[in-house]
Amino acid sequence: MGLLMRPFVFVLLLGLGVPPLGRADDFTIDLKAEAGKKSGTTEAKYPAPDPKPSPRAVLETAVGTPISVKWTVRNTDKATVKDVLVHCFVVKIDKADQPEVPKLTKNVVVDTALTMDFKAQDKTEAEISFTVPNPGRYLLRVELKNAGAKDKGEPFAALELLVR
Amino acid sequence: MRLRLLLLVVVLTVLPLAGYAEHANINLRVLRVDAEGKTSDEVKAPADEEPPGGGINPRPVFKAKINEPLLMQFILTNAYPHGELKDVTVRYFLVREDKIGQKKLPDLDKGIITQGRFMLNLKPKGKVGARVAFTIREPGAYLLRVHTINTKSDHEHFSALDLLVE
Repeated sequence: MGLLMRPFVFVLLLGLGVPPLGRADDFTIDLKAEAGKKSGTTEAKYPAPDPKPSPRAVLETAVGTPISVKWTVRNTDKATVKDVLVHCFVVKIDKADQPEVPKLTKNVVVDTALTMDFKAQDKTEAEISFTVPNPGRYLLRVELKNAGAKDKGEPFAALELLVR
Repeated sequence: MRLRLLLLVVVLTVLPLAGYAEHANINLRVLRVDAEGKTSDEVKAPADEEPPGGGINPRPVFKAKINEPLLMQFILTNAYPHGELKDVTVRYFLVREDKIGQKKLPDLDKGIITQGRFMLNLKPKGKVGARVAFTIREPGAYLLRVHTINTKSDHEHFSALDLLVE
């Protein structure tokens, strides 16, 4: 079995503790992407500034153009949240605003993950740059695992890359 | 007198080791990728430390062709057992270099194929990893490297290999 047949994030999830139920955690996620030097910045945030569902922001670029992504994840709650996994990936999708997240077994350009205990106001951030080798529409998503509060889904921020 | 000498030997032996405790394991590799997303021809990089600059282990060489779909992957695990390491940076990059095996780090302002950095608090057994697909369009020598910054130790860990693209 090839390496790509096994989602990368599973490797980092190994050994994480079981999250306690009903935690009242609050995280923010800031996600920014830009391509080349001429285009502006495309952003996504969690929680979203507008609670109404809206289309994902789209960054248009060309094959082979360097894309820079920055994200920051912060615990805004007073409680410590242990064993949070911060997962970021870029994967090809079939259509704009596709609600389903594809399995990360093929057409994955970037897949990163880290584990951390978040004390109050702790943050982690990353900057990555890469190129997309093939044209298409791609989902760029930062999501948290083991951080979800009761009655809430896991936090995430996402945008799309349209590569021509 | 003998006891004092023995204690001195023990102290002189243990102290440098304590300051040189391992704090990171890095598993870095590069692979080819086929159209189905399956990987092959894996080359793994050895773990190393700085100082001395460039480490002591020779870097393995991965041979590739221009525009060949490739994949780099690393997983860094914090092996330091004595508490959290604050504000650590884990950096990776694939950059053009002048020649295979060069000790001096290339200029990171040009010739970058892919790069990234993560800033975080690393707890014992905490992990950071990345898997990035890439192709290289120009023949030449390239350095793929992952290293730690600001671990507040007398050394930093890295893992690296060279790519020779024809």
